Amino acid sequence: MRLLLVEDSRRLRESLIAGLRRLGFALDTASDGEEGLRLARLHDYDVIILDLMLPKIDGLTILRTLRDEGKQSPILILTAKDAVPDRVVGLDAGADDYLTKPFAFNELVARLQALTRRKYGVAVSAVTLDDLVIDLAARRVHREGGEEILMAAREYALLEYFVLRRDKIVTRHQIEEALYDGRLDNPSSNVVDSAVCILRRAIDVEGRPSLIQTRRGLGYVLAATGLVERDEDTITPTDEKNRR
Amino acid sequence: MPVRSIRRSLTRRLLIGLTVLAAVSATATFMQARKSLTRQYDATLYSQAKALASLIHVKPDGQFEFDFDDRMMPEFKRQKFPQYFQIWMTDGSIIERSRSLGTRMLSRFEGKVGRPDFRDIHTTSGRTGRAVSYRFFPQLDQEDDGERGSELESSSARPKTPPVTIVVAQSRKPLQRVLDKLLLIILLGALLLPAAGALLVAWSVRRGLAPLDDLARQVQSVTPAKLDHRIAVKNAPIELRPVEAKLNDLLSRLEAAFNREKRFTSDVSHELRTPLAEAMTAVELMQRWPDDHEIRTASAANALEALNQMQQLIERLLLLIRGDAGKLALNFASVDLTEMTRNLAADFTEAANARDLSVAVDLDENLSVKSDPILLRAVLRNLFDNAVSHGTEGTAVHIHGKISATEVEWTIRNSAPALNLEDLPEMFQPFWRKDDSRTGDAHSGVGLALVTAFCSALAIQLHAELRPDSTLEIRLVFPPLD
Repeated sequence: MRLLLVEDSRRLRESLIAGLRRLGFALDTASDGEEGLRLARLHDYDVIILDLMLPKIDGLTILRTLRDEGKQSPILILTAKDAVPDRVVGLDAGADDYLTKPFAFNELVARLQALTRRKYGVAVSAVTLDDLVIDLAARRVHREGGEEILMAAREYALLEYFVLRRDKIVTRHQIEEALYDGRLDNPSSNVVDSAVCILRRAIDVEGRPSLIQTRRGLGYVLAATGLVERDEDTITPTDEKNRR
Repeated sequence: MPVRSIRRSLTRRLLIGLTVLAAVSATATFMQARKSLTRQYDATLYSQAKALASLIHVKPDGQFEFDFDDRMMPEFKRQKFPQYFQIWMTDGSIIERSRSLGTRMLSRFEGKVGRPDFRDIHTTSGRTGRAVSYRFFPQLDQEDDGERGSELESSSARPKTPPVTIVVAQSRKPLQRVLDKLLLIILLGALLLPAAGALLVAWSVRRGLAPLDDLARQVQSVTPAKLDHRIAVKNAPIELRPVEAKLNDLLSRLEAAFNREKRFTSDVSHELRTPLAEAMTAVELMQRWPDDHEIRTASAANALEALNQMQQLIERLLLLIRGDAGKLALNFASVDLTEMTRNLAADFTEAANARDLSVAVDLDENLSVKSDPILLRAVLRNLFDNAVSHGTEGTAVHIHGKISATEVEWTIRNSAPALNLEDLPEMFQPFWRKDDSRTGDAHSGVGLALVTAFCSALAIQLHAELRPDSTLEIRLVFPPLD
């Protein structure tokens, strides 16, 4: 997932960059409103984390400008303004979520994930492909009745990226943009291919076709193979609970 | 001590006053009426006595003649409350008495000749009456009746006859009846007046105190949530106008103070939220990735910085609160303002260079003021910091200091094109910033508020002016040296 963080507090910015990147989020940052608005216009972010009190252009103006321009990226306002009227104004201006400082890092991450799922129309927090269960809330992967599959943050981020776009072709460029902040030293390198290869090794079962299919000249598609006797995309009991 | 009620106390006092006044008036009226009626009664008796006296003549042979006909004076023969008379000669022999006396006799009493003497009399049957005694010289009959009149005119020419005493009396009952009726009317009036007065007083007091009640109602309706309410008493009397005006003035100041307090509390909370979020996030990261050296190092540094910022902010707020409460510890001493300014200018050289600002200091030598050196340094440091942090890049910060016969004046000027006149009073409020951002970690937002509090404690006059060329000038005028 690619995020934009617009926050003028240097220390908070540094901490969020470190934490979110370690969780596999791709992150662009801006320390003032002008730069934030420029970046938000430039890319289609999965979520924009926006402070309200910013130098040059304030957060509310950025929010309204983006919505006026038709930008639909989910926006989470992260601010010290905790009064109810401030929240109402923020949400009315087109924000999707509002979190006040001080906040728990885990809560911020959970809200970012929820906003991303909403963006991609995934209403549940866990997705099952064949017998592979991806718990988007807990950021964990395991086989049904089996042990957890441990994977690095970057691998999980790639899997999550595929899951949110399952059955759809995603290009190498899209993956580069979303997972590497568009900061690859050599765009022609095979970093994406290598990452997909590593992910396949982690989630595929020997003897079965890969869950990630390569479409030559186009990119990759994540889809259930249908070879396991169960319904595809079964919703787990926890999800049922979540739905209710 | 019981709570006094103006209404009750006013009503009670007015009623007591009214009752006493009614009683005194009734008594005085009755006394006056009785005196007046008795006088009238006496006058009637006296005129009767004189009329009877005019009927007595002394013949030339010394015999008394009394030309009385009770048909002409029916008062002496009527059945109901008749009048009585009895006439004596000097030797006590009776000349005549009215038939109305029957067998009774009037007591003889007498005063000076020609002067009536009035008395209350009591009959043997216990009745009371009023009587007048009139002692006079009866007329002497002359041979020539035609000359009698003229001779009577001159008493000196009249031959002396022995004086005769006539007593005319009448029962007091008719007078007493009138007096009793009058007393009854006055008593009824005296009783009714306080009763009617009570109603009138209650109505008047209620009506008179209505504006006060209205004022009390409106004052009671003022709550911390409704401090924007202003008192407007309907038909406010002139006595309440100053109270109304003062209360509204007080409410305005209270509202302003409440709003300031609310804004201050909100600002403090807001100012602490960001460093708190920074510290919390940093600590959470360390907890989540305890083995990540990079996270640990950077987060520890961030957390410490954020906590330091909070500590500085809290210390400055405490100073501000102490300053506002007048609880700053002051140690006045002679301070060399020239030296202090030059040292501070040197301290800020690096910060000024970083923003491409030049600092020009133009001071009289040995500017000496009597002040608290620590607080004064804090004032100047904050003003330097403000000028160097907010002065337009590439411009100059000017500091001037001069001494006159009566005072020392110190000014600092910097270019401030973003400021406008409305900002001037606001910029000395805690946490005021031209824009909403909280970018500067080094700026707590209370610097200029501290300058105000410290200047007030040090008796330094603080003036801020925005010149037409968008230069902000802050001027300090120190109290005259002894």
